[in-house]
Amino acid sequence: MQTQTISVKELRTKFPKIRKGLENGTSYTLIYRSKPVAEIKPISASYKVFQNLLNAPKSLHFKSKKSAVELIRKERD
Amino acid sequence: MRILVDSSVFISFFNDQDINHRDTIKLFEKFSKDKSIGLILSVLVFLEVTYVLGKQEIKVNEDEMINIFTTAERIDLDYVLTKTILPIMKSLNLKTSDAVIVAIAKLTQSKFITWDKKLQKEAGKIIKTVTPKEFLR
Repeated sequence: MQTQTISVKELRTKFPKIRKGLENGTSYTLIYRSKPVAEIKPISASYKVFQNLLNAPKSLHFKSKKSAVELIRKERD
Repeated sequence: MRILVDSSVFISFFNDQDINHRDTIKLFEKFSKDKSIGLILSVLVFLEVTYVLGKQEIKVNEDEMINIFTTAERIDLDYVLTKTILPIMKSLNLKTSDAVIVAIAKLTQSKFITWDKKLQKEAGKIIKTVTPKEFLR
């Protein structure tokens, strides 16, 4: 969930590192002659979010008699 | 397909006693196998979920939460976005947070998924809005 700035030279020479960053959700702003010329973003891998949620530690779960709608409405109203 | 999942759905997942907990798990299991799904994550939803979890008697590690959602398509709230979504917000009879989330769903042409029936009714005026149960049918 972050954006980094890279030069065209870095894109050529450090591509394996950049590809790994893209896989981990990092976006890049490509700089050519000191000016931003493009954004490189990872293709959405949203299914991983739901895999992460399903595998999230039980310590993140809680038990409340208040429904989720009630808990959120309390924040928004 | 792009989807925007409301905070109420994420919280029903984390609340093991929530009446909709099991249906939310079924929905998430479905999404976890579907590589065509694009999750739009409004920063507002992320903040709400993390904040509400933090209010429960559990320890929430913010970095852990960021890691969970890292591959979603995040929509930050900035000035440019604000100018774009304000006209959409004005067309809705909703409170600010609700209106921001629904306007982002409209802007990103996402299907909006919520457990909040009242919100569903109002949001349904401008975007396709379903509950997880309806989505699973």
